[in-house]
Amino acid sequence: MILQDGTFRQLRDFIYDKCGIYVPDTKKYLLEKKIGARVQARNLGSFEDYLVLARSAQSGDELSKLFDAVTTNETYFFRETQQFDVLLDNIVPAIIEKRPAKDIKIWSAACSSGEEPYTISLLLAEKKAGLRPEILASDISEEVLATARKAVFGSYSIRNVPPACLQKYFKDSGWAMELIPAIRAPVKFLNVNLIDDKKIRTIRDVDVIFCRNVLIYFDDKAKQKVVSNLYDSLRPGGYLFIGSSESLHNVTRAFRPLTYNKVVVYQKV
Amino acid sequence: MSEADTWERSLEELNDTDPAVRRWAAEALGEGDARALYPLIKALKDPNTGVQDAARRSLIAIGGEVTAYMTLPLLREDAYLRNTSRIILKQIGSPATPLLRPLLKDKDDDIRIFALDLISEIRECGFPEDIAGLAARDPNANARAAAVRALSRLGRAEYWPALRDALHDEEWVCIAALEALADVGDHDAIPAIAELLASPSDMLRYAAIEALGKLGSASASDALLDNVAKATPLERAAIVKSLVQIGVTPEMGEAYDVLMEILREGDWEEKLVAMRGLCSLRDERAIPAILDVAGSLDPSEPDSEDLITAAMEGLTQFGCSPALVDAAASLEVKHFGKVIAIDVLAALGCREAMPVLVGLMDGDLREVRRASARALGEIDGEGATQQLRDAIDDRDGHVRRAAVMALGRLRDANAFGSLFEHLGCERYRDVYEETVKALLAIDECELCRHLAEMGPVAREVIGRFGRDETTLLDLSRDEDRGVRLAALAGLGKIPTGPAVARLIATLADEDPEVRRTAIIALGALGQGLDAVRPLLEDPDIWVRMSAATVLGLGGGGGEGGDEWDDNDPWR
Repeated sequence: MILQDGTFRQLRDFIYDKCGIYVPDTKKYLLEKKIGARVQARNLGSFEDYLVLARSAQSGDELSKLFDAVTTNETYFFRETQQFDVLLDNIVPAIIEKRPAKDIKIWSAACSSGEEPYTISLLLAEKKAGLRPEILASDISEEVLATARKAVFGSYSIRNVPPACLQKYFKDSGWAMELIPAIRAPVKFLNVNLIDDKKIRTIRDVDVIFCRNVLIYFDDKAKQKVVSNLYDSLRPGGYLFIGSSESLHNVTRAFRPLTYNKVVVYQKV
Repeated sequence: MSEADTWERSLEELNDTDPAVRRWAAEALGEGDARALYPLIKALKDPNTGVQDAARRSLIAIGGEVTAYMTLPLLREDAYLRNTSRIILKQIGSPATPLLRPLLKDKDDDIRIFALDLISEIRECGFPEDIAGLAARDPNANARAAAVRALSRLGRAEYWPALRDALHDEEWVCIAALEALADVGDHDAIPAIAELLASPSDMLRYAAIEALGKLGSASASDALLDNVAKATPLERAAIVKSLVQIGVTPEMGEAYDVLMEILREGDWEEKLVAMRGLCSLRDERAIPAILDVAGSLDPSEPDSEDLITAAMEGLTQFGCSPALVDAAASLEVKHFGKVIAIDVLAALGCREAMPVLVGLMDGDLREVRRASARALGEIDGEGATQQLRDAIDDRDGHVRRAAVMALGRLRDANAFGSLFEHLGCERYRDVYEETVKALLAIDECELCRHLAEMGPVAREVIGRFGRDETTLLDLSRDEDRGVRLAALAGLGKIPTGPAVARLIATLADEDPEVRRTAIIALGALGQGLDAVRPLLEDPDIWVRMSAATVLGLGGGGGEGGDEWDDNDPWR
């Protein structure tokens, strides 16, 4: 089954309109492979039929699976740990200094199967600072959120978890490791499309946003939209972490870049 | 509230003391028209950067020639406004370019350069002759260089001679011309570029070597090789890199060391060139270093994929090398580097690697066990079936899946019992499905004898991938809808009278999804199409669409036919 160039372009434009993710020509083969699996799963005869199906999808179900197909969801606990060190050593103390109730709201904006928000929850628990964290975790794919809610992880996901933490916060369920309820409790999952202003308007007064390795999927225009939406969700003075290989250059000036131990964090001005 | 009221309120709120309110107002004005332009341009100078950002995005959203016209004067303001103006004009794109034309005659050098840079970025304009004129005659060298760049981005071959003429300009413009000619791929420029290899300027000689490398042709490599003897060490290193880019194996004495240095110190683009060069040299000493670099990539990063693929393609050139086998087992190589080595050995069908792969199946690293299992299946390693059978019980689902798939591929009859037993305890659906597929590949008849003991997931997989006509006909009447659909799809691979008859009978089913699946199956067989024709009037749009597609293809041999073959991993 071949994905014709014309159909590829239509699928690409459809995906871009719906979620701002831009699939370059060089990644056509990837789309062919991944959407091919959806075509098969839906007993369809061609990519053209799939395009009709996606366009007519009333529920978010098929769209969610389509977005899932065009993004990379493989991640792991303690990914880019230097950023978490800065969160714990610099950002959290700065926030709770002005907050007697010690409540803190953190948003993992593209949480995939949950490793990032659970890492944050685990680290805040380890810090033993009497914090009252609220951790929002969102993703465009309902399917990966369903996996995240289960909080059951294979060995790849937990490869960087220190053994002491592994013993303390995970339960060995034979085939996989299950996170204990105390770490799961502060994490709330939401299905959010980062270019959807309306949905993001419901997320307000966030202290810290993690939006790592996400902007790479967007073109300039969509990047500006996403970053603007994140800006609006932050409290004044709130912090934004993006991937260490990403930058907000020519995307926005609304954040002040701060550097801690070679880690760049963006603060809402 | 009326539209006029909303408009008035947004304008008022742009002056609010609260920056959040001003930002919302600036956002809201982006949904308006040209009347919002002046207030928004004013808001670009707001003391709050969040408001500035919103104003910029709104101006882009309004877009068009009028916005471009109103934004142009900002090019003469401070660095921030100038940059903002450039971002807005770039995003407005082609409607902005006619307005840039007068700026090409501006007295201010910077304005002419900004206009040329914008044209470069927009890659479109209706007055290339003006730009060619600037490339030849502008009094400012930076403007001439910018004009050269802009000309190359317009992609108009009739202006390439103008780019070649710029090779005779002063150094800075000449370098821009070299880059431009390499970008457009002007092979006619190679003799002129080759002459620059004798230039007294170090920078020009170096830039000419790089340009010849990017142009990549026999005459370019000949020119480079002719200059090896008189080149400086730095230039010789650049020549090595350029020859690799052209696809010529650099057989100079220092090539290995130069490429290793680039592999260690270069950026990712250079590392890629170095990898290609080292692989073309087939010097096995480079294998651990290549695996080290490729193994340091994070495969979950989308950008890593191309690099990993390039490394694997390069390593394939070494063939089934003992050094590659050793690297797969080496403790010195990063675990993802090992995975790459194993995948390459698998692609090469390297039977000599089997003892090492068998040993790796007992290791601690999941990715390595998984890759080894996959490789053993691909290498057709019958001597490794015991290890693969053991791996059916691996603690990691991915390893179990790889082992099960390998056993299916090897059609290991001795594994049938273990695999069947495994169905009773496997908790991951994808592994479960692969187990059923493996059992089908090993002994379909034996598996079908146990049909009554199996749940709907197994029956669905058998329906989709099985080949036994009787079983599929039975499953097409299964109580589970998913099983029925899969079996009907499966019948699309069996061109027998009973299969076609069953599919035709199903065209009258009350479930539209069942009717649709039967249509696609008949289309794949290229039979019973007359029975499909009445379904062009079906009440369900999807059924009608499938019927139209199938009849339009004329059935059989079309896309649907290919699909069924793709579904079967082992046949």
